[in-house]
Amino acid sequence: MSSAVGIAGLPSQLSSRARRRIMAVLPIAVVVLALGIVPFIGVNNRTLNLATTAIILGTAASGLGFMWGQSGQTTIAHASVMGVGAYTAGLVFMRLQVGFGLALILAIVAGGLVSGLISSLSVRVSGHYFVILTFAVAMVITAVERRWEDVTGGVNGMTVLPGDESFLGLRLADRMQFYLLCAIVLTLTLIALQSLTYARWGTTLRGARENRHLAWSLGANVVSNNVRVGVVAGLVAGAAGCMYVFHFRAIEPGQFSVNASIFFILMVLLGGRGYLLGPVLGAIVYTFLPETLFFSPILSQIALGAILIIIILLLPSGLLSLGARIRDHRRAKSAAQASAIGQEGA
Amino acid sequence: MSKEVAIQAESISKHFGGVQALTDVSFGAGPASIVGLIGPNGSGKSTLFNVLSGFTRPDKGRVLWNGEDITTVPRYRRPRLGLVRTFQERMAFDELTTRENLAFARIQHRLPDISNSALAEQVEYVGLPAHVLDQRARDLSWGQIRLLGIALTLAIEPRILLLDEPFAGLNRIAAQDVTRTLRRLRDDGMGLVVVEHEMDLLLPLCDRVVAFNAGRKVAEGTSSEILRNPDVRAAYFGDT
Repeated sequence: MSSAVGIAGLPSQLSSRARRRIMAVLPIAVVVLALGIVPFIGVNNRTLNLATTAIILGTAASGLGFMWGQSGQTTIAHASVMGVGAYTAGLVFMRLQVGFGLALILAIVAGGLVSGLISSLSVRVSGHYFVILTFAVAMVITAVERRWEDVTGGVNGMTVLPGDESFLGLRLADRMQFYLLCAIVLTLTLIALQSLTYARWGTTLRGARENRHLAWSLGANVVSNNVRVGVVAGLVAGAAGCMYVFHFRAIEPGQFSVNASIFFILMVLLGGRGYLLGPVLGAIVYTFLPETLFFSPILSQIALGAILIIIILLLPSGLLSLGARIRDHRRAKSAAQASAIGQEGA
Repeated sequence: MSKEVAIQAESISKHFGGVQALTDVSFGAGPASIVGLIGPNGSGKSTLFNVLSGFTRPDKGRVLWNGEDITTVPRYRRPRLGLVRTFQERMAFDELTTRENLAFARIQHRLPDISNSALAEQVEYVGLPAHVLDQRARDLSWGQIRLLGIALTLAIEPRILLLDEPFAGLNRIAAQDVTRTLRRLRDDGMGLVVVEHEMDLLLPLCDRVVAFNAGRKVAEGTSSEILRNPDVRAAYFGDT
């Protein structure tokens, strides 16, 4: 959500407010266009399933990307929070027979509450301690999911069958219609996150990320703001958890373990944590890349790891930083040329 | 700007482990004046700043704002009273533009957005050119960062400003810019409390100077009185 990077690429005659507006709307327009095109290009079931998975993972990763990009804090409990959303939605849908809409709302609320609790426990420490604390909480959540067999199904997990359920006129059991529902959830999530980024609160978060002492001294309650960021990330993870359980229709605790959280961190790093679309792009690469590598599953995983390492080493700010890198390189080159011409002239 | 606004520290003591950082220190500052705090390293000046601004809770004593006890008021609430501090280190949000830096300060106090020309006036008031508004803070010089730090604190309209080494790392020209700005703020009615090691810059600026040594206040008076004080000379300049 590094607005200045994108703004720099727009014509200079536009006012800074107009450029800000364009930069705010442009990524959302790109996503809507990209997601909306899928039903018209005749993809097969496997690709459609992968696209749905990528969208759900991208939704969850966007919550983490917002938290990390705006406040500078990351968490190893993000997948656990998503799991809380998934189990909540699955439980209320299957056992309490509530509709999908209410299940989605309850999953969002549960994710926000748990993530807010984790943040309020962890936010008083910073840096590595924060991450380690979230790691510990993630272990506890996974243990509860494994041991609380009566509710979660333990290691055997839980099955969720959507039946004839519809939401917004879209049937959950229909793969294409469910894909569209996931696309709507992702789009709404991105609009919400982008609005927060461009709101006054976004400026507060980025400032506190840059210089906590200064933020305190100017009157910002850094702790409270960081807890609220955790809540926002949790709301998004909860929503993604709900979509996840209705997509895969079976869940077990291992899917939301610390390992899964690390994959979310990878997705954010891969796409670029400073960009709204970074986590979505990271999730797309993470989901589709193994499919394009025609190796055995184990070799694919190794190749995926190697490719991710290479991308992160070459582009530490993520794939979306490539444009800015090229622009910076060109500017440095032209500045060097101008300096050389100046010296020759002298 | 109200004439009554004043910050007072009453019998403040603070220790860190086995180190007694402040012992029974009383101190006060009011509007339209510049008070300098001097003393060797470790004499307790910065600890006093931290206590006044709420970054450190004292073991004993009270901090009063206009006669009201604010010792337990959290650090982020004190700027809302009109009590703002700066730091020795970088006083800017590096990845934000100057405009966003100033917006940050205003947002915390729920002040409305202001026009471009008003923003330009704010930066020009402290001696920065208006074109820095759209520059990221990381691209500003050290001297400009110092001035931006002052502009940030002014954006929230403080009544008492605590400045921690405002001349650190500045060349002569940049230091003169800061001096000019501080005098103008005092003349406009603001109360300034300045911790500084650069005696030749600080002393001509101050209406009153308070000297510290080993966590105690050893003297208080005008710059010339302080320079003549034998306790100060012994503690600060090593005279015997």
